[in-house]
Amino acid sequence: MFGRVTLPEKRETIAIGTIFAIGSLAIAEASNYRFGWLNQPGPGFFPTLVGAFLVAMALLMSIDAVLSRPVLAYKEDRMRLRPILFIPCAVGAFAALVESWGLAPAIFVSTQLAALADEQSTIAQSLVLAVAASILVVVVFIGLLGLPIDVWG
Amino acid sequence: MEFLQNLTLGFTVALGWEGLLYCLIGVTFGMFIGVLPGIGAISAISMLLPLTFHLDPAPAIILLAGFYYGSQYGGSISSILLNLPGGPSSAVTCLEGHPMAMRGRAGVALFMTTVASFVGGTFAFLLMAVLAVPLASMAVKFGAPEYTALLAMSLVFSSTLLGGSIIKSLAMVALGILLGLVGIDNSTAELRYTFGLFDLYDGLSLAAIAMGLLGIPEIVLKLSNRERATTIRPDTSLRGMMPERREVRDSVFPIARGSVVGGLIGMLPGSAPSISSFMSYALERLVGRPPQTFGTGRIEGLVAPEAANNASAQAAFIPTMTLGVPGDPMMALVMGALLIHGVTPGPRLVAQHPELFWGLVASFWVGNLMLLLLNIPLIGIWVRILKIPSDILFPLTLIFVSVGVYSIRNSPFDVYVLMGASILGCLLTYLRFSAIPLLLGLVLGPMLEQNLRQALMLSNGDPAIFLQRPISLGFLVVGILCVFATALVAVLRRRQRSQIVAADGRAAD
Repeated sequence: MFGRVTLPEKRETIAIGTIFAIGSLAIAEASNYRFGWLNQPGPGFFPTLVGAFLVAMALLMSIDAVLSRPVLAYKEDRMRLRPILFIPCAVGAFAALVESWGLAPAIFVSTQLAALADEQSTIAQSLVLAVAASILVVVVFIGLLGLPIDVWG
Repeated sequence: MEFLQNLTLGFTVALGWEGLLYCLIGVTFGMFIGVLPGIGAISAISMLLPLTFHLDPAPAIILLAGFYYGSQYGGSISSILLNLPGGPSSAVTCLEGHPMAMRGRAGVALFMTTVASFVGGTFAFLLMAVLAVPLASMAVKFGAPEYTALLAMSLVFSSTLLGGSIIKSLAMVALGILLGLVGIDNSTAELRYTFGLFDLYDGLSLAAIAMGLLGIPEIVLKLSNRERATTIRPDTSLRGMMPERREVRDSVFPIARGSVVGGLIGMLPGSAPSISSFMSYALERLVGRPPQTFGTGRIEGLVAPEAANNASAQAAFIPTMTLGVPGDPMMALVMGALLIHGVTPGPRLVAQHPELFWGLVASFWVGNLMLLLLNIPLIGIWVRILKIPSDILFPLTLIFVSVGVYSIRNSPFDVYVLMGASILGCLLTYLRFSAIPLLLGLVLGPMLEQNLRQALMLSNGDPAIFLQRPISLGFLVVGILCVFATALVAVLRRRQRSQIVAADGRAAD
């Protein structure tokens, strides 16, 4: 609403802060690179520009948030902590294990972690799934596609 | 005559056994993935990418393209039957498709979306066949200033057409450009934003970022909001799918309008297919009478966006192939696959690799025909696939994506990038940012920087060069107009809404 000033709600405040911080950090890091001149732009020229643009967008976002009251047209989906925690863990575990332990064990661990993200899954089910997933991946990626990956470390 | 020769060449490639086989695999697998709720085309393409490395460029791109529009089509099936869109572009299909299914017209809805997709795809095929050569010959004359302006316009398009806050979208574009800067600077070979990490010298893997930002947050959202969707058992006998005469009559013009809207919007670099389906739905609501019955299962509101969606998914190949400017993250992945094969998309592609280009164009039409013929008998099977429980589906998707990203260049580091991107993706979703402009910034950023620097060197540091060149000026004017138009619409809407809020307040007093 125009004329009335409202404080931005929590999510917007975090959003503005994040963009502002990324922009400032980008400029700070870019200052280590040679800026050059307009007729001979160096490696620091474009990053500085992009960082400044981000900072400008953060300022515009805060003006926008102060002047308007966000009206949500639809019900927002929740995000639960459990999948947010376990799904990146599952991916990370795969990355950590695939070369040291081999493909099959990495898939096994990763599937267990992915199953933990889902509160409805049971241990027995996730064990069966892990074995099935390992076999399926080995058949598809190594058997059919012939990719050079070690199945066992 | 040359036009016919080109098409003949294209059809020889597309109708050869390799062309047919990979087109069939692409559309079938694409449809399969599209049907599965919660797995978008992006997730699937990163699983499929390693497969294409073993193929020749022409079958590889035919496979990826078939896969892309197949998945666009498949998404409508779960939207109609479960009210669960497979991706953003099929969200519109839910609006009229699901109410139709609830009224017992699910079979008809499925049938008509197939027909609408086919017509939309055919239109895009014609558009590409006619426009590719003139566009490419125009683009050959583009210099650095023109490309800079074109890229800037594309990035603005991707932010304005998406809906939501344009400022937040532009911030995402900039964040994407920033991520694209990581690695070795092309012009001076200096390292930027690598923080001493050797693995970052080559830059961030696009497939890993795309998957992490779009695919994984989608899985997190689905796991966080589990509701048993009510499956509708549609009448999938041929008789149950036949539309009534009135339904056919009501669909003809919406399909035509949808095809045109989709084809034209899809051609703009920077526009995702979801934009064209939303715009086409808005258009039908504007011209349809009576407007208040939309949302109750109006067939016009189903077929028009469906035609638009498919038309734009294919028209998106026009800027990708002729200008070398991918229109959406999906096209960026396709372009990446071509680059791996040593084929550089751009104005010279049509002349240098005619069999590849015209083979792709012809395969569009062949693929659409396959979809039409395959779909109708297979609808019963798709319905059954929808019953795969998500506690099997999600961990499997996650594993396949991890392995897919790893296998692109046997790099565990890329999988860590996938993990980082998935955390960022969840944060962005929570903060109501859209990841699509970010991905476009990531893809177009390096091109933008290179052209900007070249243009400035060309003009001896005078930024006025962008305004002195007529084509570049034209692109910039369109981009700026687009920003103003979007801002104006947002302000008008806000005023309207605050009037409603004010009126409610008075009534409450």
